[in-house]
Amino acid sequence: MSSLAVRAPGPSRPTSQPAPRTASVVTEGGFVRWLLIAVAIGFLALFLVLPLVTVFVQAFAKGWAAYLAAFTEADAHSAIRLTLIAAAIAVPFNLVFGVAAAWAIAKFEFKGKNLLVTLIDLPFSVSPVVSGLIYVLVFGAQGLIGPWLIERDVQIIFAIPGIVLATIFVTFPFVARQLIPLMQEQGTAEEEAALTLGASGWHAFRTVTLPNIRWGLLYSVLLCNARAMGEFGAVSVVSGHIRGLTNTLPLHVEILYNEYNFVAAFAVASLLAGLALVTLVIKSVLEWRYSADIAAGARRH
Amino acid sequence: MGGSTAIRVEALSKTFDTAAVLHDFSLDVRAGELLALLGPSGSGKTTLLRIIAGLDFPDRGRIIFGGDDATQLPVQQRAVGFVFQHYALFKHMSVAENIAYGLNARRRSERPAKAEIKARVGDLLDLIKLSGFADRYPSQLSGGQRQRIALARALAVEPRVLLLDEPFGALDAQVRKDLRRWLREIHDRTGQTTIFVTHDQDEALELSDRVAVLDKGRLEQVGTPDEVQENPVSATVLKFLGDTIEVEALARDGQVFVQGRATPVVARPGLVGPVKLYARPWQLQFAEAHEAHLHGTVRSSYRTQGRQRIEVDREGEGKTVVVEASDTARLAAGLPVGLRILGGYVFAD
Amino acid sequence: MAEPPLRPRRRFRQPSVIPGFGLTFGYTLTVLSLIVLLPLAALVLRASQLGFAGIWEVATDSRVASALRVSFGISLLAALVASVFGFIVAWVLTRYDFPGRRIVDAVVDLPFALPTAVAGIALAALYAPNGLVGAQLAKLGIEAAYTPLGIFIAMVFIGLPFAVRTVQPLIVEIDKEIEEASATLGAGRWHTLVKVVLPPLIPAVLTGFALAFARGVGEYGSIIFIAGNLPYVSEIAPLLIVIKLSEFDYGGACAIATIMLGISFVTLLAINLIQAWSRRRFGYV
Repeated sequence: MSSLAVRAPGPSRPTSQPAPRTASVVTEGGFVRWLLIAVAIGFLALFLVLPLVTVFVQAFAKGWAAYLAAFTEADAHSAIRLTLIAAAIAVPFNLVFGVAAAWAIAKFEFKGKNLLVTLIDLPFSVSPVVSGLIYVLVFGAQGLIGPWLIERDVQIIFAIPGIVLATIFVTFPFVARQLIPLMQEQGTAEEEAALTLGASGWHAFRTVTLPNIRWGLLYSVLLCNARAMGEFGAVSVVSGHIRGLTNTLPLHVEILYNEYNFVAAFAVASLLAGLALVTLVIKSVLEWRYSADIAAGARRH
Repeated sequence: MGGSTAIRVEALSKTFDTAAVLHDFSLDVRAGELLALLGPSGSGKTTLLRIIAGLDFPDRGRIIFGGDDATQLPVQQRAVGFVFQHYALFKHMSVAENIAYGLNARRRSERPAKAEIKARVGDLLDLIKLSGFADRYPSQLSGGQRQRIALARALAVEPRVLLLDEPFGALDAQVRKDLRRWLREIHDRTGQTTIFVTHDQDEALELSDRVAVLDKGRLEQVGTPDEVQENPVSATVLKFLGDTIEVEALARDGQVFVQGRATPVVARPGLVGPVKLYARPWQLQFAEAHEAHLHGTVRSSYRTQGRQRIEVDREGEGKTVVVEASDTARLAAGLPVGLRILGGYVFAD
Repeated sequence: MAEPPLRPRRRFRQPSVIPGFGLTFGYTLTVLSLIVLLPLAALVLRASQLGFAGIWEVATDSRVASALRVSFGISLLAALVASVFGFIVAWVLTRYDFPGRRIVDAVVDLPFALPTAVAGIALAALYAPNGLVGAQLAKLGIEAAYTPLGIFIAMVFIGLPFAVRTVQPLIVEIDKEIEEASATLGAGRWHTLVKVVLPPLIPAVLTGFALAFARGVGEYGSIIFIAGNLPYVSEIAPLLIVIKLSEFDYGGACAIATIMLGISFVTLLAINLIQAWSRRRFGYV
């Protein structure tokens, strides 16, 4: 459309000739455009989509029966159970932490705020293996308070509490880092308005703040949950790989794979991949519909 | 007016980090009056309003509501109606829910019955002439409508005082004018003690019973619009209320001289020596050279709202003054002219 | 009535009418300390017992040194490739409209959502000599799985979303008027891109690169299945930590962890410096 509008009224041409196409000044020529699109899609297909497809292809390589057989094992059941337990503790824990941290950081001005935000972000920049290691150093048999705890029969490393702690650590920043910019952007005027109208702080939080952040909260909880259920490195270090006891789903995948039980490994993996897909779909839907309510600076349509 | 004192602001001081925003500030607000806090940005007017509301805290000084010290009273118990500059409507609530918020926030024992709340919301919607809008959401309303909802929400809790922070700041010129008139009408009907903050002198002068002019955290003057316009106590007030021309002058024996020629301006007793004379554009008149106090050349002239405004470059001073005249033919640029001072105010240099 | 005392001018916190600061701030600090800071301090404590000499001794052990070299070297390379292709993906996603654009956009986040172990076994199966891609590569005489190339592939996979998602919002923000201005001043499209469009995006590209690099260095799950884990060749540093731990060599594990943590902090610092510079230079991050 604009290509016609900017056509220069040059010397008259034979009318049989088509009008010259004048390219828009703010995009690349057609060939370059399609080449770049092809490169981008090809790259993503090769590096991201193909591995995902492989999971399902391998899982069903020997048919439905073999696929379903992977889930009849008791070890698989306990792995599912443990993964759900870890997420069921870690996600609400980080939800409460994230909301509290975002409230303190976004609604108030105090010294050292940037440092605090950096520290909250820290777990994202620590290798998962190191995340597991630090808990071994605290609670392990050779750790700081491990011997003291073991004397009292409190087992943290190579047990469920260790797995939960490691899961909390790796998902620690998710909710807070999503909510802080969002709540900063929303400011304090609505809360102040609620207070001048006689609302208590808690009432204002429930009726004004919470509805304003609900989509951002849901979004961050979704991502937090995906990571909590899928975490491998950190959990691997603290779990001790005790079958049926301290194996989460990702660890169970590893064991099956290392036993060359590929169909079962990929079958269990397909469960996790399915979770990832569901997460991506819900996440995308949330982004399309509520982008402004999820992230600060998101453009309103 | 002249009612009893509704709110007394007593020796208020406030600093942010190291910058002082209010210095030893005192002001009485009369019951039932519509008071404007007028000042340039950074003059402390919004801070003052927020301190009265209980949204900000003074470093020292007191806020007294009808004889009771309210300085320590939490915002929830102050019973103020605060209208925020950008409305601060609750986006996820309908108009009716917004207006009813303050009533619903009350403890169960003090909360009016559902039907009563509904009736109150209906009355307020009538008052702000948005009766059909109860179920709309803020995002579906225009700026002016949102502002009226914000006002209704503040009025719903029957506040002791209504506080408005730049109530028309974010609106178009025409909407502003309509809302101004409308706010005045509402005030006349309800008799609600109201304080509003503005940096627009026309708004303050048109709307309010009294104007408090603030500058750099201090109260420069408080009085009716006529008082502050006719008897400004300082050059700051004078300059803030409209265009002024500033001329070096000399005061002697109660008379003021400009370039050795007497003017009709009277100097306060005791004001002697070099002074500054301030005049409004309409207090200047073109005159023959031998009668003129100022000389210069016309730079340009233009017509606005039926009056002619002429910019004159003053001789020797490099300053431009604006003269207003109703019946002058368009003057050519470069024309030498003389100006005679017909009135004005003098303040010590 | 006594004059209320003047509050000190420098305060830790600006007074605010919003309630709950003490509660939420206290809770935040407590939980942060217990979950993050104290355990990390345990690592620092352990490392300080080793001393600089002890850490140096572990780091210069030939197996450790080669693992560190593998981790850092390959992740640098992978971050570079991820940044280049990530930029193209981000550009295509924001500037061009084509069928399925939103789906492609969603796919970019797959490595964030897919558990690393799942990605790991999938990549291993795909690039194994009998795998779909591996078989093709084998025909060309290229071995991917169980070699450093496999590590590289996994690191590109894991780093790509960082590269895309840091540049993408900035490409969205570009004001088309500046491109039009450039065009009206006589610049060709290529000139406009290189001289006008790209320079303000450089900080974001660098930030994305740094994030992808840091993620690659620390990555474990998606790499170990495809890496082959041959000491001195395709053994990554995080795996060596796990091995040391299983041998109860806590000191060795801590030394490697400390080095990796140090690199993480340097990267974090670099990112902050880039962003501070960007804020000064371009007024945004």
